[in-house]
Amino acid sequence: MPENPAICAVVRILRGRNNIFCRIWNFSFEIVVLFFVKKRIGGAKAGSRAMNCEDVQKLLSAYVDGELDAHQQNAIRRHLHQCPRCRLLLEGEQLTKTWLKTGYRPEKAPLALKERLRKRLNHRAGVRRPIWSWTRHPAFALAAVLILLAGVWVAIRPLRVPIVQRGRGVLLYVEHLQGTLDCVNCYLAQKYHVKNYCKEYGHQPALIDEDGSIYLFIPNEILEHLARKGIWHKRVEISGWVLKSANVIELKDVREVHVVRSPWNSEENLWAEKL
Amino acid sequence: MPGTKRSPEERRQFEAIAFEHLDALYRTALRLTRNPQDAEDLVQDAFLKAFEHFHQFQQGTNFKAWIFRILTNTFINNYHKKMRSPSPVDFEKVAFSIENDPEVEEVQELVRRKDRLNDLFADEVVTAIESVPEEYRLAVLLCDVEEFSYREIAEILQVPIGTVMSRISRGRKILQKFLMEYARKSGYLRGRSDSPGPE
Repeated sequence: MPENPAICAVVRILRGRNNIFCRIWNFSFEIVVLFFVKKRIGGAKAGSRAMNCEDVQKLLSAYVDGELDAHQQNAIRRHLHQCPRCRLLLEGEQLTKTWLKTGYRPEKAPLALKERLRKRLNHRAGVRRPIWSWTRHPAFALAAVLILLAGVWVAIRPLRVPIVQRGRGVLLYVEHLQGTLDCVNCYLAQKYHVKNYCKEYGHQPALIDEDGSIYLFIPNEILEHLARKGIWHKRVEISGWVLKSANVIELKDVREVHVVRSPWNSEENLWAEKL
Repeated sequence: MPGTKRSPEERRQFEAIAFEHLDALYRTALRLTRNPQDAEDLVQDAFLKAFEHFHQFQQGTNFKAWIFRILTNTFINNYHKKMRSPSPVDFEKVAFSIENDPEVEEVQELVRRKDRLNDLFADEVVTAIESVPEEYRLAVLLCDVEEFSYREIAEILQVPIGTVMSRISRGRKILQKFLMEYARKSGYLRGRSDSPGPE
């Protein structure tokens, strides 16, 4: 490396990118290169000097559409000037374009389509909170119904409450005693084929439990209420005082029992409703 | 993303610019599908697809080109296979005319009688366009009827500009052929096939 400060300065100037000498140098270099390259390209592109018919016809559409650069346009214009055949083809091309533009019947979109689109767009954009969008899915409806049914099932299946008895001598207080409310005369007449006196003396209400035991009632206002309501042959659950030796009940509470069969096994589910 | 919902603001924005182009979309769809029912379905599909992907549209760029691109894509993907219906023109019979450029004499005749040809065009233009093979038809329609630039057409059809140029050139020539055919059939042009005189 020469230590001569003058040479070093020149080298620094030529190496630098932003100094003025360098710029001038680059610029003039580019001009020279461009000059030669352009000349070469111009020489290679026969069409730019003088296009033949084939070249022109290839570019005619783009020429009509104004899609060519000035250079090509000039070349074509020069060719057209001296070639009647290509001028004719140009006119044909222009006619076709014009006919397409003007001869085309303007077809408007049907109003029904517009309406439908508006509706569909509204539908797609209508839900403000996208988090709820899944609630419209059919699977959601199905799941909701299932959950609801399960809920109802859970709610109405008070498992059979065991009979509670609290003793007080011969009297027992019985809760949740279940059976069918029936007329004892009718029941016996039907079961043992004996004479039925109900027509003469009226019905005699009684509770027949699942074991076939018959409980008679001491007349009170609850019994009257039941008779008024007419819940014969209905399944009920009662609470009250039972005179053990005679199976006579003084009613304190009566609930009608609804039986709901479980959908997946034959288990009975009961639901007592206050009368 | 079919599950995503656009907000009502987006919908308003979309509606404001998209409905402006509805007629143009329908017009093009009609020429592509060749029947009103399919055209409506195509426009609807394209519209909803555009709405779904509206977030991908860059504001400030060319919306018309964007939605036309969706329309043509939808057409190519969904309807292309379905469209096996025969075109109104029997291609077997006119195949020769698609392959060859119009003769200079024919063009001469056409140019000479251009005033009389004005009466011809309405249904004939439509029929002629619908007879042009699809890729050329689309390019010519986008250029001449919808007045897109070559660059926009290249963007819509996703092909290079050179291809657009050659398709339009080819399409117009085919169209010219068909127009002349119709003109000749309806007696506007004196065709060589109609009058085989001893020349």
